Amino acid sequence: MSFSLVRFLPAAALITAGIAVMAVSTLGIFRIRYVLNRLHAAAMGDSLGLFLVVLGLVVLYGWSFASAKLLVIVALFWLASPVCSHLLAFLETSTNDELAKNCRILPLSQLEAQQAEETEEGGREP
Amino acid sequence: MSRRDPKYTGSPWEHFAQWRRGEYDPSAGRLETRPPETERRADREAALLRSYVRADRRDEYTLGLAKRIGGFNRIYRALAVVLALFLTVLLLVTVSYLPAFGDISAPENNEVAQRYIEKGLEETGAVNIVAGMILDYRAFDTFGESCVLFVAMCCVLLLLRVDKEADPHSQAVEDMSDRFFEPHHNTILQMAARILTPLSVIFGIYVVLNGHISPGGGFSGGAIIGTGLILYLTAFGFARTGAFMTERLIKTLTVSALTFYCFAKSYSFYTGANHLPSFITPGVPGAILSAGLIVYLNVCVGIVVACTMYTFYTMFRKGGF
Repeated sequence: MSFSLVRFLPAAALITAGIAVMAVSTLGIFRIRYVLNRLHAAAMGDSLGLFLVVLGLVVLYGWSFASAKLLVIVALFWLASPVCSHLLAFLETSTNDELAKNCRILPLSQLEAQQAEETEEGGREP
Repeated sequence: MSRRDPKYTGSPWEHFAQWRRGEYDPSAGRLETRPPETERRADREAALLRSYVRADRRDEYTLGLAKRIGGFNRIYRALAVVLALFLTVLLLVTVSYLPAFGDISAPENNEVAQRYIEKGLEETGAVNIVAGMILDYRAFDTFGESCVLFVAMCCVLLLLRVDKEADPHSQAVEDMSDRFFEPHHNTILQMAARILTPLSVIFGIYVVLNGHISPGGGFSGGAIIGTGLILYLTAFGFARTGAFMTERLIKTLTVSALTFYCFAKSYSFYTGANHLPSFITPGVPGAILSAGLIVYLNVCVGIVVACTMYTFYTMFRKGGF
């Protein structure tokens, strides 16, 4: 009894956390109005929410062939979902004529300068 | 105040003077002009002559044909109506003989399901009872489904195919829009496709070959293989997949798979119905080469489904292979 409870409680906590992340990401998809921000919301549910739910299931049922399959599904999602997000964002930025209305666009040189600044600061601190 | 340019070069007055002299036409190159009457008459006569020649050729063809098919056409229409009526009446009569829906004494609600569950493994040799049902007891139905996929593929080919030779302009437009929206040489996508394509194709083959042992089978496995092909196509473009997935290969694979299915299952039904000895045996349940024909039929269905998915994608994407 106690052993099953030891398993059940973290599993339930993980699954609940996963469902909460999924709920937040779904809310974000419907609430947010712009594509790139929506992508961000959707990617959160796909990566973290799914991972937490699957981890909870693995904890609940122990290590078996089925749980290995579940982890493979997570690996597939983590491989495919960023690629899909990248493609969608690429299409949006390359075809939207009014991109500047929706988000701030930095020229590449400025971006590189900013990044160099950040790395310098990071190098100075330690 | 002397004028430096007594000819007013480039001024409206000079153009006016030139127009008066007949040297300058303000509408030249900008306006569609009416050709002189003599040219137009010549054009008309030439066009008339061409249409006469064409009409002559057509008449020679159609008059001969009309004599042959004129009567046939009328008979054909009458026969089509008769056939449609006959089929309607036949189906309605058959429906009236069927037991009521949900009738407990109907065989489909007791005997058939019981037999599938109790004797399915013994008679078909398939551990996966669903595979035993759809590819052994009801293989004819599954054959119909595969043929429906094939017919759908043919219809999509007929409707969406862009004829490159007849209309080079539309092909160029298609190619251009394709190049515009296609993620061309996208390194991230190509890397993901390099990892995922072999995995998904191998997984699809696994699902097809284990259709009689574990859940899965031809339809789901074929869909997975088709997805892998489409992913590869999206990442590397039509030139790479077109090298092996040619129209000819798809045609050959689909038609030979359907033909094999038809002949194999005809043989099996014929020997089974007439209680003849057959060399198809259920084998050892659970082994990879067991369950008689189910493995081979699964492979056939998988090939048809994968080819259909790939063809649909290429047709809807750019109207050609």
